[in-house]
Amino acid sequence: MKRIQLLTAILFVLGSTPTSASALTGSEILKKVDSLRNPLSSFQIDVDLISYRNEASETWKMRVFGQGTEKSLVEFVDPASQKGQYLLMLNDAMWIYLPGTSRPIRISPLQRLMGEASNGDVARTNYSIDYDAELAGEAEAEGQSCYRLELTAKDPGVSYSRVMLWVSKKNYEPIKADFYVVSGKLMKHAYFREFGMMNGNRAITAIEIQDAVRAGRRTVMRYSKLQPKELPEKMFNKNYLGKW
Amino acid sequence: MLTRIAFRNVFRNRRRSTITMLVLIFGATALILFGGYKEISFYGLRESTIRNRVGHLQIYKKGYLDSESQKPLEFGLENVRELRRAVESDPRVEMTVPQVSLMGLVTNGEKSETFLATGVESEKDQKMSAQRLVAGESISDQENDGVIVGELLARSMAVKPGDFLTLMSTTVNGSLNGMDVRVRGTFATGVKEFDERAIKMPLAGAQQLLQTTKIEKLLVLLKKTDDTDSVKRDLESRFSQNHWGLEMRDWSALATYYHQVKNIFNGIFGFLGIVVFLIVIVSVANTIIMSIFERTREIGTLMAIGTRRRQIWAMFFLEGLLIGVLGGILGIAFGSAVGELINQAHIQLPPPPGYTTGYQLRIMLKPSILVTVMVLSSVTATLASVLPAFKASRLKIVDALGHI
Repeated sequence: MKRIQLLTAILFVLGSTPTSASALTGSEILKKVDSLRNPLSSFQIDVDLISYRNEASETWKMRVFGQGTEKSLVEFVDPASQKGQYLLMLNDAMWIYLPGTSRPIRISPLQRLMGEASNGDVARTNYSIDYDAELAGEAEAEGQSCYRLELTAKDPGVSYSRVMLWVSKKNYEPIKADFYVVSGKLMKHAYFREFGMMNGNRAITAIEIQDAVRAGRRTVMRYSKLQPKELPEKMFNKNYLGKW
Repeated sequence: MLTRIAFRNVFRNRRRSTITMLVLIFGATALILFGGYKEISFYGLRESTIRNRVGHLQIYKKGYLDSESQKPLEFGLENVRELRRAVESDPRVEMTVPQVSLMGLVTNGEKSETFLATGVESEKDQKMSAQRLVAGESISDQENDGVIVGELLARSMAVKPGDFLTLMSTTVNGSLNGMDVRVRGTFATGVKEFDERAIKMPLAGAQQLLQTTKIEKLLVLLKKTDDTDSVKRDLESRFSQNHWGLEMRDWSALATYYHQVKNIFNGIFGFLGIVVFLIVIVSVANTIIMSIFERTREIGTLMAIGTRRRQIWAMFFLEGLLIGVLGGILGIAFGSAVGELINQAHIQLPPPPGYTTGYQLRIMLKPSILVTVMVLSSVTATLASVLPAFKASRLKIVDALGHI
């Protein structure tokens, strides 16, 4: 009897030994995910954006200056037609500055529905700050075993009110994310395609965003040359756009 | 005495008087018909504008008209039910129509365009019949995500009734939202820029897309347009009494197209009226001059028997006045008769651009037109006879007597 009990006890212990991973909560996993994206508090990074519409594609090269998670300034470098343009993104508001004009133009949330601005919204999603995470089980994504996190927006003003995030069980790298709007409609698929070393740390180096509503539209963003950089406050003030 | 003679003269010279009066009757009729047509056009356009488009009054939240809202419906109306009940309690009000408008992107999965949607209650929309349905059926409160689409937008999206589209917009909080909608029908307004972008959807569906219970504005339709000013005043005092923070516009401030058309019409008909008036006055002057010329011997005789020059002048003046008044009365009678005949013929005119219903060709016999015609007729004939009458009184008796 005792032997059986002992065996049962051992089996029970063995069987129920939790893997080290599932001890983490949804929000802890989320924090790990975010650390792969914005590891520095003040930085500069190069972004190559390739926009595909069916077979045709367009490429933009940009340099992004970021401070914390709320402020980023995008400088367009290539193609020549975009060179000199700046996009300032502060929390909820977005401004574009065109060279030769005297004032930046505010981009309304509505206008961000169109074109690559919508992908910009997706790419700079601040998971841990804007969303509450709940571990909703496990699933396979892109051939990897993942945790499925269900993210709900903390604020009604957040662009995408719900996100489904698949995080690799092995190393907490995000694999895939689905973005939903208030009505429950799926709008975007995001795939975290490549990871590499940037500034001595592991980071996401390529992300692909597919439009779930309009066929044939996808965008690939490649990140490189991440480096810490001291940035003046002026840089993130819309009144100074284009003036330095 | 002079009057009696003048009176008798008018009837004595039947031929001359008749010709003069015919000219006056022609002029009167022309003015009555032009004026009446103009008036009915204004009336028709006004009522179309009010009943199909803007309503008699529009109620907004205070600040809406001057505002620069960053987010949709930042200045939207809340407590809608209470407001509607309060407004509809006035027996002069026929109905209230809540409206929401929004913009966004519409896509069929391949192509996307910007759209401008108006959210309305289907029953109210039917009553206002603001657009002409070209295919399919209108929106229904049973299907919150069933929309009707401008025909050029439908063509651009390659959809017909029964197909689906996705509407993408932002909520009142600035969050993104999207909604699959079924095309129930397509409509045409005749205005290209509108048909390329416009969508009509149930109010509840629009509110769902915007994630709000607010509305943008409340249209008020009255039973009689003439009540507009008094109802507006009553509502304004009610609003300020209850501190509701609302502002209003009446249809006149909103009906820009109507005012533009009115100005053009007034210009055209004003010009026509002047032309008619000139024709009439020249003709009348001509016949009176001829008439006096033919009566030279009579004038000579009159003066020879002692009639003063002053009296000659007065007599002809009175004759002119009499013909004018008589011509005016007959002109009004004849013009009104012709107008009524046209009205009875029930001729239908096509709808003006942008409107759904045409209207019947009618001559509106407004009292102001008739009075104007009467006055003009009398004045014309009188004026026309002033100078010749004066001239006549200045004749040398001897020459006059010897005139052929």
